[in-house]
Amino acid sequence: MRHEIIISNTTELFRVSADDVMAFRARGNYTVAVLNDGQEHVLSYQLGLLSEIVGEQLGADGDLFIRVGRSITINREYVFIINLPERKLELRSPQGKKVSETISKEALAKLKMIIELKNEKGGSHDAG
Amino acid sequence: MRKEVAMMPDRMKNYVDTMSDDDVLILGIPEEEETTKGIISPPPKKKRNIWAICSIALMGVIGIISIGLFCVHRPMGNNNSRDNYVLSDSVHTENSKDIILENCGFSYVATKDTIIGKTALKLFWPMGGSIKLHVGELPKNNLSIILAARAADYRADNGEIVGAFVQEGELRARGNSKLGFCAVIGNEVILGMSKETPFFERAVERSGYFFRQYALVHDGAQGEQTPKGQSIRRALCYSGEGLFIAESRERISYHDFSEALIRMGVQEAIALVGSKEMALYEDVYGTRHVADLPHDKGMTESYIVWVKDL
Repeated sequence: MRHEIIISNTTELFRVSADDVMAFRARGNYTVAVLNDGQEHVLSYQLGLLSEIVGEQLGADGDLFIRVGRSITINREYVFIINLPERKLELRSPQGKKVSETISKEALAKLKMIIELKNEKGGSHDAG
Repeated sequence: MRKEVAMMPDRMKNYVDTMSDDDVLILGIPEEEETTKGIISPPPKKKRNIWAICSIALMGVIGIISIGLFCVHRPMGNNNSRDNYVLSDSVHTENSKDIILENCGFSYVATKDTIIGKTALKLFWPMGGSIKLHVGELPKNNLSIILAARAADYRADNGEIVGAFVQEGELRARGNSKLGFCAVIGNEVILGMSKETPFFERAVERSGYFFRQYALVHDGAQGEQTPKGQSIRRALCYSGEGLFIAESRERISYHDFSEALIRMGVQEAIALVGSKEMALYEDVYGTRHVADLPHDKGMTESYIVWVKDL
């Protein structure tokens, strides 16, 4: 387990490999961690704060995750479709789990560019 | 790799999310490498991207203007936005140590099953909405209600509500045989344990709500004396993470229920009417779970309800 995320509060500790997280989705003041095996787990933190913590925990490897708009933080390794006209972002895991989210075109355009740039610079993130 | 495990409550309290729907933020980029908090502007990678750069810049300007307009037109003093669920500091009064928190403002109920020691609990986290008290048969078809649970007890002899009860500033019942109380005044919800509390008068003066029930947990410890016997227990709870309803999955005593809540980190909890299933809640998928609870004719039923903010 190379990238480990631990989210802890007074009552619960949530520990997961960063590579297993497809996305963190905002649910009001809570965040749902969507895992690549289809499991979802509600975390009692706002997405923004949770994203900050994840970024801090992963350090330089935090760029595995990209927050896209206010509603979702994605693991870039699972990006499957970015469709600007339909404002659709779809993630897919090898296990078949899909996550779809409607995102603003502006944010999607930026995300598309980030993914393209990363690809041009020499391949995707090393998720090993 | 891990830098931080525990998160400080202060950080939650003070956190302000500055992202907009049009922003993209790559996590983990060191500050010196960030431009505008990691929000990516398209780099000039090739000439053909000039149009894309201009478009995104234009969209950014439009976004800033939109945010400006939103700020100008936003109603002042409204704390109901999704990310403004901020817990205020504890308030100490003469007779009680009460917890005040602000209402939240959106619309479904997150549920979670957990086991504390040998006690299985189901937790209902209302994701926003305004808290009100309803008297009478629950309007199950009212789609604006996302969570409802029986609140105060009623007397078996005359069907009247037990303990002081205020609905929209109107005094419906008197009495303080139970020490626990819940007051809803404006955007604040106050849970506490006290025979007399100024929040009762304030609820009357400010068109608020107030009811009494057994104080199960007060200041992180066992509350008042409660009846023995076992039943499905339910409580309105406050922990450092907000307000929620806890329900025992099995018939247990108040004492065991309180112990489980304390071990879970609950600071304040007052009982809600238990024994039967939760009256109503709407889950994250929009499915409404409505219990087929018979209406007790001649008895004054009361409910604490979370109503969607319009």
